[in-house]
Amino acid sequence: MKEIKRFMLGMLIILCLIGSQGTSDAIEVPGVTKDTILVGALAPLTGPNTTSGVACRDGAQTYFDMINDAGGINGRKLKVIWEDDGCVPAKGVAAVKKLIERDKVFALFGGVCSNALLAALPVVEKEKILWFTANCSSPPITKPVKPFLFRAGWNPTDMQARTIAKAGVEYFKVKKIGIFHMSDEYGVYYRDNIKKYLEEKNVQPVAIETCNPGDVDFTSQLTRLKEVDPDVVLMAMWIQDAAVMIQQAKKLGVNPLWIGAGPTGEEPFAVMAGEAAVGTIHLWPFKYLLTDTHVPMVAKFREEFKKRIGEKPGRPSGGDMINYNGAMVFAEALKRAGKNLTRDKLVSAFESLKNFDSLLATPVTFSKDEHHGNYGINLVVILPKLQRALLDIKIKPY
Amino acid sequence: MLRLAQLIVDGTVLGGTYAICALGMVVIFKATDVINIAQGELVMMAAFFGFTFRVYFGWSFTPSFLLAIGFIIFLSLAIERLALRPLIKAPIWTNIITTMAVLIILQAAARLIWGPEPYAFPPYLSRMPLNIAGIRLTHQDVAILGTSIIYMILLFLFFKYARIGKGMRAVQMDKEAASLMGISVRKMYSYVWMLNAILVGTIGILLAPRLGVYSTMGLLFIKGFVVAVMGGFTSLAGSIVGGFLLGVVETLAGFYISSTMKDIVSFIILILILIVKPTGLFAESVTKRV
Amino acid sequence: MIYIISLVLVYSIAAVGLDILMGYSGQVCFGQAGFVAVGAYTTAFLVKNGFSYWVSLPIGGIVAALTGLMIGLPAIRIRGHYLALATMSFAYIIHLILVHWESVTGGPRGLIAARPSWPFSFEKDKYFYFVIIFIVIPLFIVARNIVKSKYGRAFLAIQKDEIVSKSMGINLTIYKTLAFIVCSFYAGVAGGLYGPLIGFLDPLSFTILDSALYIMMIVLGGRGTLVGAFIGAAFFAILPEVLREAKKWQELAFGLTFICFLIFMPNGVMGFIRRYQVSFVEKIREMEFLRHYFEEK
Repeated sequence: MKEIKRFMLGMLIILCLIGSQGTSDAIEVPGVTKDTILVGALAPLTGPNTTSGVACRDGAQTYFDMINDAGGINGRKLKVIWEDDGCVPAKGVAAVKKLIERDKVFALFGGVCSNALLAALPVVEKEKILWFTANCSSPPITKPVKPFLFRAGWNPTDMQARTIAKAGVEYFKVKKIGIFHMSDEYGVYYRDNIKKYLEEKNVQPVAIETCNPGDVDFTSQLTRLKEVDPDVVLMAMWIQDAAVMIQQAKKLGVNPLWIGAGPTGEEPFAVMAGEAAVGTIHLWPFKYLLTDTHVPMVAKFREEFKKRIGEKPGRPSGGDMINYNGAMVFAEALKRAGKNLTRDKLVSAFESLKNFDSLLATPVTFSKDEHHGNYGINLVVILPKLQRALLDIKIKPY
Repeated sequence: MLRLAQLIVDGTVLGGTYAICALGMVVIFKATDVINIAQGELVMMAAFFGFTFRVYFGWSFTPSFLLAIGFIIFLSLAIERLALRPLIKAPIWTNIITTMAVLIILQAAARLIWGPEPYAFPPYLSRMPLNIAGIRLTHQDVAILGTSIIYMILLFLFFKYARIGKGMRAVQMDKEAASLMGISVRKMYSYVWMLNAILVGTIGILLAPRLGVYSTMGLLFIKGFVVAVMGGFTSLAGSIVGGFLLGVVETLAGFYISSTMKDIVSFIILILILIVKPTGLFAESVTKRV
Repeated sequence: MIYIISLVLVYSIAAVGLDILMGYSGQVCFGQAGFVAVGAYTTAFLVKNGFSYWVSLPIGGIVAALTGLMIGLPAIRIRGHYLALATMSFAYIIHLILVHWESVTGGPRGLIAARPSWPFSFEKDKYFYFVIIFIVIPLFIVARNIVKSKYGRAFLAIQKDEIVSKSMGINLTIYKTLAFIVCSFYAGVAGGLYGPLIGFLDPLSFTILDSALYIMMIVLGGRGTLVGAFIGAAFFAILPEVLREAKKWQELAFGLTFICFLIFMPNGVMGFIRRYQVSFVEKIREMEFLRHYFEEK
C-alpha cells in the first residue's frame, strides 16, 4: 500500500507539473508570415465517411494549388494542413486543438460532419478563429449566427428538406407523400423539417419510415409503404443504403416517385442502384452538371482536378466540386482582407461578400446577420445509361 | 396472407445469410475456442476480391468467384498462422481481441487498397424478379437461399463422414485426446479457418450485387454473432435455426410493429431466449447450477 | 496536449471500472459504453436544467450505478459469450434510447455538455484538467483498495471457480452484482467528465464498438492489474494522435501496432512487465546470493 501511495503521489505531482506549463504568448497574427498563410483544414479521412472527406480535401486542394501556382493571395502562398476528424466529436476537437495550439493556423476550412464541427465550436469561439465550411449542413451552424462560422455550399438541412417537400407538393402536386429517413442527425432534421412544411400546407404524410445507417434489409418498411401506396416518397439516406433499398423496392413492386436528398444525388448512387434509380430525382447544389464541359468553369475545374488528383470513375464528384467552390469563396475573402492580414479583417472580408459569383453555384452573399452564403438548390433527374438532367424548377424553400 | 408469406420468405433469405456467418463462427469456436470478431470483414474482403476480378479485370463470374474464394482462404490461413498461432497458449481474451485487431486491419487495408467509396458489383443473374405463386423473389435471392441450404447439407455430411470433418469434431470435443490419437491439432486449426473462409467467401460474393461493396459492410455481420449465441454457441443446428428465426422475426417485427422497433425487438427476443434458456436454444447442456 | 492527457485519464477511469468487472470478477461486459453514456447524458441533462455540475456529476455516477444494478442482477446466471451478448444488447438498447428519446437526449442532434461555472468558469482546458486529476486519482486509489480488500479477493475467487467460491461461503449474488455496480459507477463518472471535456455528446460516440474499445484497453494493458487500464487508455488515446503524421496509413499502422502488442505481450503490457519484473528480481537475488557467498569466503 505504501508503494502505491508513493506512486500515486508521484503521478499526481507529474500530472500537476504538466498542467502548470504556461501557454505560449499569442503571436502577432498566428499563421501569417511574409510569404505564407497557414490554414488548418478538417475532413473525415478515416472511418466510414471517408468518401466525403477525401472529396472535401481533394476538391479544395485542387483550387488552393491552382491559386498558389498563379502566385498566391496578395503575394502569399496558401499552406493547408489537413487533419482527420473521423466524423467523431472527440477526434474533431483534438484535431482543431492541434491545429490551433501546435500549428498555430490563421483560419480553419472544411469539415464534413456537423457533429465534429459543433463540438469544436467552443474552441473556435474562444480563440476567435474563423471557420468556413462548404459541407456541414446542420442548421445550428449559421442560425443563430455565430460570429466566426461561415458556410457556402450545401444549403442547411432544413432548407434541403423543404426543397424536396415543396417539389413534391407544389410542383408535382401529389396528395400522398411518404417520408423515408435515416435515424441519424441528417435524417432526423429532414424528417422534422419536411413534417413542419407539410403541416403548413395541411398535408399529412401517409407514411414515415426509418432505417439505420448500414441496414441491409428494408422489406418491412417497404411492405408498409406498399400498403399505403404513396405517390411520392421523400428519402434522406446515404448512398449504399439507398441503393439497396431502391432495388428492393423495385423487386417488391413499390414504385412511387422517389425524391432524394443530397447524398443520393452523387453518381455512385446511380451506379449502384442501376435501373432502379432511373426516374428518381435528387438535390444538386450546382447550376451545372459535372458533365457540362461546355461551361468554361466546369471544364476548368475538371481539367485542374484531372491534372492534380486524377480522374477515376465517380471522381470528380459533386463533393469535390462543392469544396472547390468553397475554396474559391474562401480564397476570395482572403484576398479581400488585404495584405495586412488579421483575423478580424478576414471576418469583415467574408461579411463584405455580396453576390460573389463563382460561376459554378449560386452567388454568395454574406452580411453581419447572415453567415450562410448561398440559398437555392437544384434538382436533378436520373436517366437511363447513367445520364442525368437538371430539372428546370426553381424552388424557394421558404 | 400473401403479404405475410412474402415477408416470411424475405426474412428467410436474410436469415440464411446470418446462419452461414454464424456457422463459420461456431465452427471456429468449437475447434479453437476463439470467437472470430472479424467474420464480417472476411465477407467484405471476399466481396472486394470478387469485385476486383469481375470488374477491374473483367473476368466472368465463375473464375472470379473461385479465385476470390481462393484469396480468402489464403487470407484466413495468414490470419490463423500469423495472428492466432502465436497466441495458442495465451489467455482466451487476448485471442478474441486479436480478432478485433484483425477487423481494424482489414478495414483499413480495404480502404487503402480500394478506397472508401462504395462500389457496385454487377449481378450475375438477371435482376428481373420472379413471381412464384404471388411471392416476388429475385434470382439472386433464390441463389442465396439455395446456396445457404446446400452448404448446410454439405457441412452436415462433411462432419459426419469426411475424415477431416471427423478430425475437427475430435478436436472440438477434447484437444488433448485428439492429439493423443494422432490428429494434428494445429493442422485442424488451419482446416477450420479454411472452412470458414469458404463459407464467408461465398456469402460475400453472393451478397455483393445486392449490397454493393464498401469497406464498412463487415459491420452488418455482427448479427452473425447474435445468431450464433442465440443458437447456443456450441451447436450447428442452433445457428441454422437461429439464423432463419432471427431473419424472419426481424422482418415481421419491422412490418407489424415499426421500423424503429425492428432492431429492439430482435434484441428483446434474444434476451428472452437467454433468460429462458441461458445457454441458447440448442446448446449441449453443461449443467452448472450454483 | 493537456486535452489528450485529460482524455486518457477519463478513458482510464472507465477502463479501471471495467477491469474490476472483467479482470477481477471475470464477468464479460460489452456494455461499458452504455454505462458511460448514462453518466454523461445524466450529468449534461442536469446541468442543462440548472443543477450545479458538482451535484450532477455524482448523480450521473449513481444513476449509472443503478443501471449497473439492473443489468448485474439478472446477469448472475449468465456467463461467457451469453453474457457478452446480453451486455451487448444492453449497450444497443441504450444507444437506441439515446437516439430516439429526443426530448431528453437531443437524439442524433446531440446534447451540449457544459463545463462547471462555479466557483469560476472551467472553460480553460487547464482548469478542467485539474478537476479531472482530482477526481481520477482518488477513484483509482479507491479501486486499488477495493481490489486489495476482501472484495477483490472474492472477485478473483469467483473468476477462478464459481462453484468452489460459493461453497467457501462467498455470496455470488452480492459480489457479482457489486462488481457490476462498481464498474458502472466508475463508467458513469467517466461519462460525466467526458461530456464537458469534449463539449458535445452524440449517440454515435456510444456504440457497441466503443464498448469493445474499453475491453481492448484492458486486454492490452493487462487484465486484472488496474494500472493496465491506464496503459490501455493511454495507448488508445495517444497513439492515434501520434499517428496523424502517417496520413492515409494511420488506420493500418494503428491496427498493426495493436496486433504486435498483443502478439508480443499476450498478457498485456503489465503482464509482460510483471514477468520480467519477476525474472529481474530473481536475477538480483541471484547476484546478491553469489556476492554474499564469495564474501564469506
